[in-house]
Amino acid sequence: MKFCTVKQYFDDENNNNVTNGIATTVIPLPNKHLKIKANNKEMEQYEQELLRNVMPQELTKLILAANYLNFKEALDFFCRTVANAIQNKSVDYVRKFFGLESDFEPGEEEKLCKEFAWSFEGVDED
Amino acid sequence: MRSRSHRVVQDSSAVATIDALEQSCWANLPPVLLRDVLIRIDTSEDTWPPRKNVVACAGVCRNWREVMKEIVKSPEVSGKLTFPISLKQPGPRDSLLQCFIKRNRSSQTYYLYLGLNQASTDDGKFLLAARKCRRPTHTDYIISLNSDDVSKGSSTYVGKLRSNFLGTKFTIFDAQPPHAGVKVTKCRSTRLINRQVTPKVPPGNYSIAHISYELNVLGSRGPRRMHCVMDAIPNSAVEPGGVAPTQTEFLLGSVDSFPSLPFFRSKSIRTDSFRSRHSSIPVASVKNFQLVASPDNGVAGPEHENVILQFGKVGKDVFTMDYQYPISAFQAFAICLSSFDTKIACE
Repeated sequence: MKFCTVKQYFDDENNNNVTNGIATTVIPLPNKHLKIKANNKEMEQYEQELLRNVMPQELTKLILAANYLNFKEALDFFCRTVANAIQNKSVDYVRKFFGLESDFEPGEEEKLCKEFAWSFEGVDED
Repeated sequence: MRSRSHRVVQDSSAVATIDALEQSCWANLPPVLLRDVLIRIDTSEDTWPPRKNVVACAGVCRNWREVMKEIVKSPEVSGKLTFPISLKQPGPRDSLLQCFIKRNRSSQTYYLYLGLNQASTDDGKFLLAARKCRRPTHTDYIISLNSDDVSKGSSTYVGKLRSNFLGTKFTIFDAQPPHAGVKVTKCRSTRLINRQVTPKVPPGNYSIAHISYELNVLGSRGPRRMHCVMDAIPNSAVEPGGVAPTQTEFLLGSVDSFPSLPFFRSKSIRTDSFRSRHSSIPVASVKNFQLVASPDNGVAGPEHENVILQFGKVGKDVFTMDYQYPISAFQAFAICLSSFDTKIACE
């Protein structure tokens, strides 16, 4: 049984965790998984197709929905998507992507600059 | 399993999308899910150059840094070098970390790299640089995190090796005191209190090891005998269940002294005894050595035959350096530099 929380979802009257739009994306996933479980390539294509229509701000809602529905495979997939999205990106890009601001003190920022300089030194671009 | 590379957001459209992003959405992401994402990055970016992404994620904001620092294990546990502080932490327990050193004779500079490819010493991640500074009564090797700025006044200065005039006795100095292994509390609410209570030690040079060389009966034609006393590592570190001090940040802390200091001695070495996955076999050189722990009481157990550091010439100006627990990359590099300087023997 893929969903542990589905029954509860339909029982809840005021459910803010999973909006209709998100549910439409997440709920068909387990059936699809079962049908093409053996074929990784097909699953990869399906996932890429799914993500083509997803905006970054929807990703967080998808993650929260998958978490609420206790749907491990979907959660795994969406977290992996976020990790891939920020792979090989600069610190500024990651901050903007998540809407975060640096809360380091000036002294700490200076230390970070040295850390970055060392990490990127003498390393060929990927 | 490596994450499949897939870009949800293309760079060019990213900025427009980002401006429209609701800030509260990601800020409400449960910590356990953020941790899941960062764990994936640590796992998939496990070698250099991609490992720089782990360092980048640790620079996003305080929360990310705390999570990433908690996820990333020290070299002793993971066998991986991640942050610059990894160079001051003991190497892996059960395997040698393979590095190589390139010498630039004209600028009297030495560069330490982490080997990325067993088959060649061309592929490496830069770790440390050292520049030789000769003085009337001694020689200093200044060690820095920045290959372009290797000077004592530099903010990337990490320590130095000082030799006596004859090149027979050396001292390794660390720019910061060795840590006793007690982690600095990172909790925000007590940060101010820690500042007031923790005694500050001014930055300087802390002697952490002494190295001495002796000729053997063959004189300058034979291998030198090297003795290395690590002031910063207790004898118990090399015994079963022992731990070595591990610095956790480039911070200041209190200095601990240890009652009993481990003593490393060089093993007489044959080039075919090099335990290494390097495909380059060292060429014969009096500079080559292997360092093992030597017990106080003279009774050597199996833990005392474990090679902690080995150094071998593989080319005109290229040397392999393999090290493991309980010494750090910085300590290993400094010990190897002493082998370049001894004037009592020639190549």
